[in-house]
Amino acid sequence: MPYRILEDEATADVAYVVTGKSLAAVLKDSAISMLDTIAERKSISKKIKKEIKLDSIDAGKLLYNFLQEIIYLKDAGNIVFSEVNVRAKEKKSSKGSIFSLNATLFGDRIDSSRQKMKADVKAVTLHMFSMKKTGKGWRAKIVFDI
Amino acid sequence: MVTDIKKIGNAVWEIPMTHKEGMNVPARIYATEKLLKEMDEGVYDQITNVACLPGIQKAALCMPDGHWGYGYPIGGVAAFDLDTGIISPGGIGFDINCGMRLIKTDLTYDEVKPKLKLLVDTLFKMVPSGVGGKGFARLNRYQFKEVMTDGVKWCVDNGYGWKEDLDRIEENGQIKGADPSNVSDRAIGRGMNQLGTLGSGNHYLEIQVANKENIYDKQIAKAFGITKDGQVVIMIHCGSRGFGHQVASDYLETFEPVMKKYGIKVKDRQLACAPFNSKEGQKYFSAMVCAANMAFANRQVIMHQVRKGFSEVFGRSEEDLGMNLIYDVAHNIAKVEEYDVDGKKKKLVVHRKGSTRSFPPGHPELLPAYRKTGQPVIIGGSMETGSYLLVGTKKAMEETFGSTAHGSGRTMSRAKAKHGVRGEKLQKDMEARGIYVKTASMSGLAEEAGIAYKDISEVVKATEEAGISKAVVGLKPIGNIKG
Repeated sequence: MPYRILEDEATADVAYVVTGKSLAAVLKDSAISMLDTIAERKSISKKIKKEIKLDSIDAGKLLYNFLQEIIYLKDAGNIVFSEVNVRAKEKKSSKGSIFSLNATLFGDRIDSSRQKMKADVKAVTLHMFSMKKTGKGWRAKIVFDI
Repeated sequence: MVTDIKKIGNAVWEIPMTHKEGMNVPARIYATEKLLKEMDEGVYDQITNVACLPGIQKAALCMPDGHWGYGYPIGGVAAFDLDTGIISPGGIGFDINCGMRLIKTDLTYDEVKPKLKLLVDTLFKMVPSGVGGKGFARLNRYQFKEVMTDGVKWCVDNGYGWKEDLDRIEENGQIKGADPSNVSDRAIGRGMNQLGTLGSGNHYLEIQVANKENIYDKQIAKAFGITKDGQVVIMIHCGSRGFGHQVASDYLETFEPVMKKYGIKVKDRQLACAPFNSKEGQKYFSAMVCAANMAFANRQVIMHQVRKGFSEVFGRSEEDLGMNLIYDVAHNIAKVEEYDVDGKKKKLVVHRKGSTRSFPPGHPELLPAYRKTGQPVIIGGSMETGSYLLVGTKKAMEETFGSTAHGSGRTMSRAKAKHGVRGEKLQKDMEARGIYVKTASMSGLAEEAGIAYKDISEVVKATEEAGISKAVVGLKPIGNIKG
């Protein structure tokens, strides 16, 4: 599992820690943790392709906006995803870093008669939310509102 | 548990202002000794953080069903001065106007029992639930904006309900002050397809029975429409779906830099707020009202479908089945209300996050139908144990800014509940106990097992001992649709 569930955090919701060697890996696996909360990914076909491009001066903000975009596509577009591919980079300058991502997601329109849906993620909360560079790569802590 | 907490009354405990640096008022927890011992450690920290917010009046309160939440605990009540106080999305909750609705029928359990499965299966088809459930009412952006401003009135004008329903909803299902121009396009995009949908999580539609032995106040029960042994009622628990969540998320982000501008410091990011009377505070208030009105309308459209479902199954009209609305209450909301503070009448912005308004008999804001009895209070329990219909009291006005509990309150995380319970087994066990459940998600069902919640009767007992609401009828579940 590319992420770890925190069982004693967030009584009414669900919390994860995601670690990875690269920014792209943590962005991808954070999205996977959310998608695994929403549905059995194996039951979702890959009929629809969506691209998400974002950038931010803050890696945490980039992750937050990425996850919020997936929630938006679920509610406004009625789409849930089963595969996520992420390219990400950090561009350093004298003024600081700019973090950017280019994600390609594959999924399908939600149809619970064909797919195994689980819990609806309605928001990424700011509670304990973090995205940090570590000695081994990156680490994110996320609580989803269910 | 904190060491400096003291009992100051029946089922009331106080943490003094000396407990934490920056507390402007004490914190009070309403609970029996048993509930207090079981309360999350996080509640103590969170409620004392709330007590530090600017302009807070009298005390930061936590109801008996309290548990850890984002910033504020669930079960939290906090009232702020309109000029010196704040408004905070964290004090209202992401699911703006999550609430309860109770509908009566003239049917009895004996009449419903033979058709229970057909009834639940029919309602499951008619009321979309779970992830991505699209409502049957298809609205364009213009119509959705009308829902934001008109709430249940829009529904009734468009054929989703009866005119008299309006007199059985807090604020007639249309809170004044909505301004759709303060709502983001993203929020509208998320909410437009969701009118008339239950959602998932702890939301449900339940068929319940009022048995004679659980009618505690016959006279008030009669005034509320519960008149016979074994009478069947329907309870709906849901809110403003993705729409309200997006409004809350949008303004949590907006308020973070705003706090710096107004020199407000908070002890938790999720307590982000703005002065109530600031431009930003007023914008959020008007956007929150939009979401609150959408939630009232959401429950109204669901009720419309429930009436149609009952009518189809029993081959009788909705009117003939006596399917009148008993009441609809918001339990995640902020409202401007008047209270006595230091002997003077004062308007305050009261935040209720997992707390139900509990106005007493004679309150001028009560609708004529309930001005004599006091306001119906609906406290929803877990799908295994049952729920309660209560009535508001004078003591709630004096002590808790007219507020009481809203539900059982979780004691176990979703992840832990799933370790102990399998959805399929729970469904079978419940059926053997006479409760027929249909669910959009088996794992979601396991997460909502009764073991994950506090004992609702203990929660109700605490509110009665403290005098902030009074039990009228206990309701037992017989059929449940879980999102």
